[in-house]
Amino acid sequence: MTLDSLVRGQSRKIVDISGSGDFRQRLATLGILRGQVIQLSAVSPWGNPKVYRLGRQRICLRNEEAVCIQVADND
Amino acid sequence: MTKKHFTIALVGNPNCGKTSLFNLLTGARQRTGNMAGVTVDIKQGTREYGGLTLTFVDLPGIYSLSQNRVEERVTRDYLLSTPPDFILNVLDASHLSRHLALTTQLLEQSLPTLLALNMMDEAARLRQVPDLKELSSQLGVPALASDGRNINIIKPLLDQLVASLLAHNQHQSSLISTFHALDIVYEPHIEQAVEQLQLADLPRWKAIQCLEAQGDVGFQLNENAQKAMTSALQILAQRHDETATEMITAGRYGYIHGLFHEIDENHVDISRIDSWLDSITLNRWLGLPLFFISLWLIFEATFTFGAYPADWIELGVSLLGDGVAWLLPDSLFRAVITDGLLAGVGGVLVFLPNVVLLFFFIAILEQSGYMARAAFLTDRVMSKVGLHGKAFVPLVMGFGCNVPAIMATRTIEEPRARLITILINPFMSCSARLPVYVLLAGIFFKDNAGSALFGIHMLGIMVAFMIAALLSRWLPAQPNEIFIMELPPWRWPSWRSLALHVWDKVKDFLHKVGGVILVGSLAVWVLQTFPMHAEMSFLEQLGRWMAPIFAPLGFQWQETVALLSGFLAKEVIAATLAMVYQVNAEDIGGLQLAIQAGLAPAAGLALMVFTLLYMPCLATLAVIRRETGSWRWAALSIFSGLVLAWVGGWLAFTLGSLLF
Repeated sequence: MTLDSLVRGQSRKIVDISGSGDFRQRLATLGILRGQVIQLSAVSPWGNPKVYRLGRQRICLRNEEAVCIQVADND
Repeated sequence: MTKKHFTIALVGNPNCGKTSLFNLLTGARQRTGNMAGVTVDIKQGTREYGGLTLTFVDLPGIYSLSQNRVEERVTRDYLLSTPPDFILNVLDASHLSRHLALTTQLLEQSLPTLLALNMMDEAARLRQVPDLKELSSQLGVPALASDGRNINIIKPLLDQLVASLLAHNQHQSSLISTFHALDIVYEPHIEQAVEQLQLADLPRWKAIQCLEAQGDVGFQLNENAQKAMTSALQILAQRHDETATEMITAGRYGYIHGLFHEIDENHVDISRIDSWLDSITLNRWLGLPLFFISLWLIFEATFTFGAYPADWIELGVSLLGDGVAWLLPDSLFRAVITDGLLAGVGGVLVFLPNVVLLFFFIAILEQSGYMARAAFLTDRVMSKVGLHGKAFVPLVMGFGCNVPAIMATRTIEEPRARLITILINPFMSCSARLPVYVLLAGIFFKDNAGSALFGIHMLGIMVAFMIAALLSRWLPAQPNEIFIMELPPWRWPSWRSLALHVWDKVKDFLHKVGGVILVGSLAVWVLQTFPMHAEMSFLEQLGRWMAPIFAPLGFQWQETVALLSGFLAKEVIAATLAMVYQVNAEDIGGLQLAIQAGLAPAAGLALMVFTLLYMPCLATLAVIRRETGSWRWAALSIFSGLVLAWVGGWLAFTLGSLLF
């Protein structure tokens, strides 16, 4: 499943990241890499963007970008 | 002869406390914002220490040297083109592994570096204080605790810096290299590619950066290296799903985790206060109402608390006026001072407390980390009207002054989104318009003046968004820039930084009072006084000639000339109003009565709306022209502002007349 379909509080392991090179570079420099566990922690009033937690970092992503991140189907 | 003057560059991730440290090191007065991307241009400050002159350079906060965004480019190019004598790498001790990723890049380049670890108290709270000695011996560079809020912690840091600088300088002249390049072993295929590039005469760090930045590097590559790089990247892309950047970054993190395996940050939770604050401020249903309530509270407090010191200033000005009247005989010279200088300049000066308070509250929002949360909450609305998430900072800065706010749009890389942000910025009501609102709201909306201030600022935001929506339809769309924003941890504002910021704003205001407002007041006084003994002054003649245009809005010649004078700077509107109405009034209280007698409440509302919307001041027009590169946009800004202001003022007057 893709990252944007997580439910609030749910956390999953990142299995694949696709998208443009520029986008993947931005994610990598923030430490968002395969194998990391990511959790959905807050949703804005319109359901987009959302805040994800990676360790102690909180990162705000739009759904358009979050679909590029594949997460494991179960824990 | 030994070198006495050194340059030290501050490098670090966004939100690492770099700018606070810079302020403390240099005593410089400049903004710190707890949000990615406040530092756009490079700031410098000098300090004498240990017999040396140290020039500190504050570089934009960056995540990586191998990335091609505006901030990264500025820092990367600075380090390459004007290498500093030393680098002060500022890190957040409570987010050490992420921040050390940048450090590994600096050390791979064998740049002379000193690590300054901020937020040690936060790390202590999380029970994961890094072992500085261990860190220092593993990385081969000094690592010290630091704190942008505490001068005592800075002393050892400066001592170490001076010692390192002198040692490094001495070693350099004796051709001994003290800084060895950090050697991280990457994945085998990456290592192969690095070797290939090294064969093309690139040093290891350049080879790694070529791969990590996917060829987009700040240094020149010869044809040989260029070819080697292209083929290496191709081979890597065939062999792996992951990009070279991802693999190299994974290598860096692997190395960092190996440094201090006993600390596993992923299992350390966000502190309870942080997650509590986030659960409220980012709440799907509570978040936005809370944002608007806090804005309303800010304006309420700006009006209410500003009134007390305003009374003292007013008392001072009127005492001064009495003194002058007592000292000097009744002459034209005395009239210049009492009716020109003291009425005009004094009329604006009383609003200093309000302006300062507004800046103070906005600075608290910025430094605490709330601003980034507000940007998250409003992102959807912003993107609907063609604005990028990064537009939030420049728009809020517009509440202070539109000129730096428009310059801050440089961080927005997509040209259309940037242009829209520039053009709507003048509708964000700047603090120069505040005196007019405070004056009029105090007269016509006595009981809920704070709400009136809030309302007029909200109206500005709504108009800005409407214009943005129109512009985004009209201007050709461009591929959207990716929006990824890190939410900074909640932080207590640093009082020192706040005080510096507020003091800076006071100085700016006084500067303006002594400059453009003084000149404007004197010009208005001259026009008001001459020709002497005539039926009508030049000012009144001009006002009455123009007044028919503004008659549908309920304005008389007094408001007309006040609005005309506001083109210089918006504060002059308040000064002119004070002067034309104060002819028969003794003090500000008298001025309020005089305005109340002369102006209908609906016309007062219309005047507030007109002041909000009409054309940008001279300085803002100049900066619009410069940043967009064309007078066309500046002209559009004047034209659309005047039309909107007239229509808005007319609506306000018509609707207001029905209500009041």
